Amino acid sequence: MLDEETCGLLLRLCCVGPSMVRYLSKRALGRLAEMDSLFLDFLDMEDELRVDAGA
Amino acid sequence: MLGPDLTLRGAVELIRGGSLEALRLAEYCYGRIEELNDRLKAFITVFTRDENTHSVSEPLLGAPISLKDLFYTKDKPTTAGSRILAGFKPSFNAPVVDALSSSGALIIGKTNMHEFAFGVTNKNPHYGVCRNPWDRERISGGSSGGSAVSVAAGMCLASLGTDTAGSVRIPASLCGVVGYKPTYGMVSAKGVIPLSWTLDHVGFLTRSVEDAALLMRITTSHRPPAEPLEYSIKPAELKGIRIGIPRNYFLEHLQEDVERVFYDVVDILQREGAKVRDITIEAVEQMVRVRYVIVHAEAAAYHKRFIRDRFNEYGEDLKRRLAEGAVIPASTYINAQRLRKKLVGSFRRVFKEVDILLTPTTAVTAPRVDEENVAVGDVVMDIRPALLRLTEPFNVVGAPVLSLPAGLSRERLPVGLQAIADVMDDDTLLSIGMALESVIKPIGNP
Repeated sequence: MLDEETCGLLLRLCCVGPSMVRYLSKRALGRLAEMDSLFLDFLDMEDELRVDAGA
Repeated sequence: MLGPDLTLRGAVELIRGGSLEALRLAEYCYGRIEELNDRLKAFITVFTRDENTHSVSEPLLGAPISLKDLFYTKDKPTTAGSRILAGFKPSFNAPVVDALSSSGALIIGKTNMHEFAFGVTNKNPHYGVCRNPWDRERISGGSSGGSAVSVAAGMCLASLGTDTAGSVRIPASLCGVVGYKPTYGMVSAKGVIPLSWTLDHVGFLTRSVEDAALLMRITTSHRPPAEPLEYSIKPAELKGIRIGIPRNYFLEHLQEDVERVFYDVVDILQREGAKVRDITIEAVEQMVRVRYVIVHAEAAAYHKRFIRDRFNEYGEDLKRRLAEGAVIPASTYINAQRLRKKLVGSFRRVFKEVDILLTPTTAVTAPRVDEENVAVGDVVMDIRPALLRLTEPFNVVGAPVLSLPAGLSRERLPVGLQAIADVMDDDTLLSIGMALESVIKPIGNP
């Protein structure tokens, strides 16, 4: 677990102050995490490595 | 002669022919604003008659045009529909505003919008709920809702808007006017308060496709403005035009009346000799996810200074969206941008097989002001995705899109038809759009 100070720094980096935290929902964050992994699935790593090797 | 039927071209020709005075047209529009704006909340700022030194020059000859209130206007309020920018007066005009002014437009005022263009309802917490002139208990749609209402209700002849996920086309569809989002970058977005640099498009709300083409010409042309414009785009011959109907995703969830009006138009086009075929657009759900990440992350970047110091001044829905945007990791945003490039390539391949795509503009007609969810066919949806889902994919690929009124629901609410062409093929889109307009029965006025 992150300690409170580290947590605070992380939120500050995202510009998320205390008044803002309550506007973040588990549902929205879960959706974002799902999008993130779907992007990776769709970006064809093998294809990109082939392009890099060719270059 | 004067009324919500009068198009921009029609007005210009009447003025040029001497049967209508520009001043009388302006007085008519000012009168409509005075009569209706308290109830419709279409305008945030109306420029007084004194502020508008009326230059009746070619090619627009003093025709009244409104601006969504995120276009910079020199020394005049530009609020973006937010309390945060109350009192802000830019030091220069957006170039697109200068182009209209120097072409003889009378800039009549700045229109109400969803706060910072970040939403589609136009239920603005600071400047009032923008109401639909077809039924005042319903929303105008947004975020260029005041622009659509100002055109539909005869308060001006055309309006400038912006479209990041559907913000020109959605209110155009709900209010029964034409909405045109040109190819990304065709019209300068300089001096326009951004929502998302990657996906913002400047667009037009008008009473005809021809008027949209005229404004496109004026705002992208380098020719001297002080002469009548030639109308270089002519209606296409519908016979033989290849029309693609993307059944996957786009026709899956539609309100019954929207579906009926859409297929009625398809029948008309087939009778006119168009070659209509089903096609599939790949990875539409990915386009929707990419749109979400790019818009939210870029909006959070633009708003960072206000988020830090003035977060509590945003409306509640903006607070939630900006909080969601603020926590998007850089890697997620970058992968969304990489994926976007791949999606553009796969999307453009469909235009080897068809000239344009057709879909409804919105899956539903205008929701009531108090509605949060709507029935869309056999499912119930939050009104935001219900309004956005058919328009947002085309911002991701930057394609030109027209929305035009296609018919009325049983409740006498407008239903919009969306025509999409390949990137940079705006002339084809406008030309086919004019032809579509000529075979679709006019819906009349609110």
